[in-house]
Amino acid sequence: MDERSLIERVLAGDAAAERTLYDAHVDRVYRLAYRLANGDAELARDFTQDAFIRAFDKLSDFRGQAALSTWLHTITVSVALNGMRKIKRWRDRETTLDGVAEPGQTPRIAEPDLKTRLRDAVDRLPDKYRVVFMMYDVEGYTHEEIGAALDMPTGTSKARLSRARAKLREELAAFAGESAP
Amino acid sequence: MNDEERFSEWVREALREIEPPPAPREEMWARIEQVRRSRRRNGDHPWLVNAIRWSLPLAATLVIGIGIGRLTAGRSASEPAFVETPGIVALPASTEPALPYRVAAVQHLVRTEALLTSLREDTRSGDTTDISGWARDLLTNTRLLIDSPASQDVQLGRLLEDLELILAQIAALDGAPPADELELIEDGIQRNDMITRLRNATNAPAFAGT
Repeated sequence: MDERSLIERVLAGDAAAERTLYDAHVDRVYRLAYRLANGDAELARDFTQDAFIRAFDKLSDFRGQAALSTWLHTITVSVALNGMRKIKRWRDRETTLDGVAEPGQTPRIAEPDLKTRLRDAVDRLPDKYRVVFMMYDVEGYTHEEIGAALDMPTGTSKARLSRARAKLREELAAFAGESAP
Repeated sequence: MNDEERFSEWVREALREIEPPPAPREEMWARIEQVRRSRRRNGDHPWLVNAIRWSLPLAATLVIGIGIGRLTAGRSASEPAFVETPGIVALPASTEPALPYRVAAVQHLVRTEALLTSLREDTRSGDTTDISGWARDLLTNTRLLIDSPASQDVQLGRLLEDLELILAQIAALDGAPPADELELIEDGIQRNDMITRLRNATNAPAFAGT
């Protein structure tokens, strides 16, 4: 069944078509959500659910200018970034409270391993760089796909990727000197 | 392969090792179905349900907006209660279920336009604390409106979604941001023709009836 017919069936209230649409796209949406959730499977699950709920709610607005997958990825990025901003605000608050050490107590900081350092460095990237980096370098999207999903020219996608890599390189320079080429 | 490419390859390989687990398809689908079933059940009177859900945080804006609407409607009994232009009809106040939300949206868009037009001036000093706080407040209201009946209007819905991205960028400004951050935001405002769209939206005949 072609995409247009599937969408029409979903809009007509066909529950089986909803499931077909979900099955066709859920794996890639989940992978993207997982990357943007910085490897947190529970958050990825929540973001994926929210993305599909929002997509089904707004499917009548889909005009078919881009592929349905591109439209779904746009929604996923929006849902995940909004979700991560909320999480970061909560975590910042928790960190502020937890960071108050008892008098005379020296906080002990464990030396993080390579993957933890890398994940932290990626997590610290500004959203606009992190999304492009994750989509291109890790998940293998093309600049054309990223440009369509994020509504920006491919040149901007390339520029952001380059900036993301440069920032990671700066962040990991010391550590990369020992472990990386 | 140069240094940058080698470094990128190293990062890619390290991250790809952190392979996502398989998507919990059935668990997620069960939750999606549950939410959609619940919404369909509330579909008998969605306006009422949504009004209760969204009107509380927007109460202050709504009070002002509805007040203005009533004052305007009460100016003269002989004036028509709605405005009709070719192709666009704004319904009388009493029959338009989403009217309070549209009034709230207009108030919100006017404030947002004020923020966007003063962005450069306000960030010239290098301190973005005030404007990012202002943007955060507007961002919260934008998200409420996106999920409210106001966004049933396709154009308004798209405008709100575009605003969401720009306000999120401004809200994330911290201290003295580098010039390229501000340029990117301003580029987004221009590329999306935000100021013109905001002005058109607040001057649209459909809103004139409010």
